[in-house]
Amino acid sequence: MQDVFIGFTSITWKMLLMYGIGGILIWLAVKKEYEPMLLLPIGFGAILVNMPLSVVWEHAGSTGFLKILYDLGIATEIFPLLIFIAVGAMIDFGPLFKNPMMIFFGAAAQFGIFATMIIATLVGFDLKEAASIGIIGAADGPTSIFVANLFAPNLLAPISVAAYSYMSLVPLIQPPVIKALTTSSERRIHMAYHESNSPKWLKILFPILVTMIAGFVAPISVPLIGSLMFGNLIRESGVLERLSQTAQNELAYLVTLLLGITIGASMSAENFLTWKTLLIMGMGLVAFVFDTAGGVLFAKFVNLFLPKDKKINPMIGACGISAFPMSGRIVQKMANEEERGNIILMHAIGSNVSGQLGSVIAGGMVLALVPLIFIAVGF
Amino acid sequence: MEGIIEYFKSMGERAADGSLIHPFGITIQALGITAGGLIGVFATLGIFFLMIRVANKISKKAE
Repeated sequence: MQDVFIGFTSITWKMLLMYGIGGILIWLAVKKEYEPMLLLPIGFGAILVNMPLSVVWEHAGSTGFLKILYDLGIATEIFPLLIFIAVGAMIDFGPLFKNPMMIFFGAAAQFGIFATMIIATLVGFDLKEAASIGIIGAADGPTSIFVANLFAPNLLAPISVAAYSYMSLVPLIQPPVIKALTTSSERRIHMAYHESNSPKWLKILFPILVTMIAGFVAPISVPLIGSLMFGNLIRESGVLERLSQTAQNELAYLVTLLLGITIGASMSAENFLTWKTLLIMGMGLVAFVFDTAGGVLFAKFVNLFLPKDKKINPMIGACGISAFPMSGRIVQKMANEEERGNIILMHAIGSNVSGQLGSVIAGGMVLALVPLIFIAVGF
Repeated sequence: MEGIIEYFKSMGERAADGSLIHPFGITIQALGITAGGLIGVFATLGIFFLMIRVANKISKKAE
């Protein structure tokens, strides 16, 4: 008789709390439209995996469908790489080619990764866990999943949730940080934009050369950068329009759907409801704040050396974060609010696509350097 | 290079009970990764910058 009611009798307060967390994620997706394509499947996955007996994960010796998906797509790192092919097919590096200086903001705005990693070691995480938490600052879900899966698979769920949640909250996080670090006159700086077309051969060669150079500098980053650049090569080749469209649409939607629900399924109550999750959520916010600050302060530093008529609007620095194209749009909106008709969108997008490159390269650097330190200290 | 490696080794030394001999050892290692990582990111993107500049110049000359 007891078996009949096992679904009710096995409910714990932790499971109820996870239903609440799943419900909040779904609410954010539906009501606030914060990254709905990811937060909704993650929220529902969190509810599914915490149902009594957890049949979708593993029960009575048989593997559930979400664990099969997890083993196939996350443990093997296939899902984040497929997403990168789709993202690569969506990126137009044209604005960057017109103003290549913007590429350095894609580097400066990775500061949050490293600052957060240092803070994480100070609050007691080991080096691999700290590096995985820092990567939330890449503002790039697939890179966060890729690094966390290698270095701290036990923290994958909170890191992924933090990465995607804060990416969706970029419109709330960035403006106050930008305003705190810039004056009104700095935010009103105009930037000239010269309309010119980049040569097609550059657009085709760029993804190939970027892959090769990144592969020489940090070979371990090749799966990440290679997938991103493969997608971009399909787009720019001009002869694979259907494949490009498939990557940007069908592939992106399908893998995002599976990735979201699988990440949600890794949020079992025992794994997720720990003090570490709270710390990771807090440090994720710190990472995004430091990213924004790093980009803005670097732009202000560069301005010290530029003539008066060539100054950069320091808000552009904040777009070096990889949240594409949201960050670029926010900065344009802020520029327009500060002075009607101030158009800096193309520069902002140039900086924003650089952030895509910067975050993957930074992820590769962390992947390469952490094991080197471990070898050096003899662990 | 040897000196740097020795330095990091000393930072990772642990006592018999597993505690770090240097309490901030891991943080100092993280600082090392930060320095290396930021230099690496700037250098790599710097190469891409040069690549784009050269390509733009070649294309302008060709026009």
